[in-house]
Amino acid sequence: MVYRPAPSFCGQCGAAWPLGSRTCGTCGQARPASEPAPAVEPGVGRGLFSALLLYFVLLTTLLAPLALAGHLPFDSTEGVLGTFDIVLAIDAVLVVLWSIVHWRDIVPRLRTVGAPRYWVIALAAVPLTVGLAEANVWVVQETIGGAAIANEAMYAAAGYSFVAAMLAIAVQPALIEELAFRGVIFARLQPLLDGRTTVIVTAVMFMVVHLALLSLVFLLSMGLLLGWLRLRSQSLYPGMVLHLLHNTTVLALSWP
Amino acid sequence: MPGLMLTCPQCRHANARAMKFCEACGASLQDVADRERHADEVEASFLLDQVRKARTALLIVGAVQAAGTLIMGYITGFDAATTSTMAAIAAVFFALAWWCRTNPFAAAVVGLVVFVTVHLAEAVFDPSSLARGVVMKVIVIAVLVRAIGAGVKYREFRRERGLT
Repeated sequence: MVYRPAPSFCGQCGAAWPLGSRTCGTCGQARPASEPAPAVEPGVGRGLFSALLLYFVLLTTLLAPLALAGHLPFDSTEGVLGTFDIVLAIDAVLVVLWSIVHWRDIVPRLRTVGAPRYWVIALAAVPLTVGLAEANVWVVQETIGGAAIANEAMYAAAGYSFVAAMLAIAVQPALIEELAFRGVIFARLQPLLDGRTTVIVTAVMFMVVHLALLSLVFLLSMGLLLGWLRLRSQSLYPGMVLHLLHNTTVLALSWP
Repeated sequence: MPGLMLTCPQCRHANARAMKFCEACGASLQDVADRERHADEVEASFLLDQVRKARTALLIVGAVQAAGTLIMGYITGFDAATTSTMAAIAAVFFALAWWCRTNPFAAAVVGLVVFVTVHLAEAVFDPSSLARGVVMKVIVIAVLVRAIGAGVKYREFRRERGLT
């Protein structure tokens, strides 16, 4: 409360203020109790810093094993996938930490289930996103000709069971990537950008962090769709389900 | 707080921003309110100009990347994978510079993310690349970070002064 002396004249109509009254006798305007609170929530800048920091920390955990390749058991498929499992575990811990720090952003999104129509859209989109992912890789290989890295087949070759491969390829990304990109980063960017721009920015971050040059077009489309689902449904669940089903389908299709 | 109050031209009483007449003497605050609003608009446009500086950085990155595509293409005989990757990165930065005209803040955030990611990934596969053009890299990052900082200030300022 800011101390303000009793007015002699109404601030809205300029008429003399009735002594001891709470409202103006001429225009009926009530006098504000104190200065109107600034509409801006404090610390949006720090929030943006936190979101960008999460992005770069996740990027570092993905790049660090590649930079240290000489010191890691990268000569065998088991070694590569074992290292990647550790990275997935570290990322999960980091994203949960960030979610706890920004729990005010995350908890309302986890308590919202989302309107049924977004669940229908999420489920109906699975065949489309799988088709787009396959088409994207096919077109790139036909035109530019990159070496196809069949991640999924590597898991089978290294002796992972389908469930273990699913944990690494489908469950962890569906939960942790959604919590990071559609949860923390989305909520930290939204006060600074409008909804549509937030969807675009998080989609680009989602695309770039995958470091998968061959699938850029698919990853951007997937990021836009997941961001749109988050924006419209106000919930993280439809996106998580779409992400989980998409990754599981891609894994199942290439599982020997 | 200067700028957040309206000083009455007649009696110097400090009135809240929302007031149209002085609460102490009843004089009209219309002229003061107009002047304050104009001053706020000018201050906001200064901040916006700082955000727009990101555009120059994005254009330069795009141009350097495009030149690099041609030079590398000439050396390697336009190898499809290298050329298309480098050309795509150049196109992304030109697209961001174009987006910067309508949404400089978002373009600066995306530009920073893409620029740092591309160069970190490049450094992982070829550590010597990190030192190449290091001055330009630092300047680009500094310009983008300053633009983002100005963008945050611009938004906070507009909301604080009720300019939205």
